[in-house]
Amino acid sequence: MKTLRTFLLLALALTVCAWSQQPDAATAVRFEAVDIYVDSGDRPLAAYQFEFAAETGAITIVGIEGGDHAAFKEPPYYDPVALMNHRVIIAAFSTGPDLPKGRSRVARIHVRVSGDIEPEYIVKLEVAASADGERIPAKALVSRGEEQ
Amino acid sequence: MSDSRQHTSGEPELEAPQGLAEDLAALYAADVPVPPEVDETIIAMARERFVPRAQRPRRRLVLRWAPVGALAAAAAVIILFLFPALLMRPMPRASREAALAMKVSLREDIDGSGRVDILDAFLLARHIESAAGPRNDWDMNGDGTVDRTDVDMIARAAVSLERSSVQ
Repeated sequence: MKTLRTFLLLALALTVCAWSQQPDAATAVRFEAVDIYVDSGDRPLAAYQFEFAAETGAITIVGIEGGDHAAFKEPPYYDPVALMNHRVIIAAFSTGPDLPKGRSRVARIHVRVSGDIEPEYIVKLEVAASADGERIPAKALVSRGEEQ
Repeated sequence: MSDSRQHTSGEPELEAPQGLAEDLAALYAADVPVPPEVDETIIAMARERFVPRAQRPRRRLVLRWAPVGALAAAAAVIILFLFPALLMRPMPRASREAALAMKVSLREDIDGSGRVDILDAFLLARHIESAAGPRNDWDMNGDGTVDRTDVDMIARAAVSLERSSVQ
């Protein structure tokens, strides 16, 4: 029992030591917006689904907005669990007649970045479709928005 | 020639004197009596040593592993505070892709592609808005009508992180 108590005290001491070495939270945390673009070329984009994550760095997703075009202005579908997580699957569709072509910003993701490691974001387009539901080749691009 | 081979070891053959040999034999051939208490003590120790682990008192096991557990807990706490990025690292890409590539056969798979994605929701939405209307078996929530709530249900399934990680 005495040994156990000794080890617990040691653990407590090490924890306090480790805690004291943590960087100042006020300086190590920042927020940034990440814009996601889908380029569907000359085909109208009616639906998309992509996965977003950070390959490096410690990020937390704190908010998700819709895009620029009226067809995707509303917040897209995403799992609420993704908030306060580091990855998310985002999807949206529009059955309206007015659809974007070419490169269009479809979503904006707000993230909280912790630590000094610059995050590297990846976006993987899982599916894109035209108005008739046909899968179309498209590219997803990620771009850092303004820092806050 | 043969003599030189026999003595290559350099060890001459020794033979104890007759009297010494008899004395030694008498000494070690003696029948030393062992008291029954000693026998019982040895047997008790052997039983304790060879008793199955499951029958041993649990408290001793706990006490034996307590220091190791405390050390492991201390190490975990240190790692947690020193390297929080390790805990927040995304799932390996290969695993994610493998998970997403796995085919599933679900009710939400409207287009029969083998996976549930936004195109299933999109297809159902288009059917709802079309003159033909949707099929009755696309009533996902079982409320008797196929409407926008069923579309939303499929879309939520498509973006579910839990589903994408277990597929």
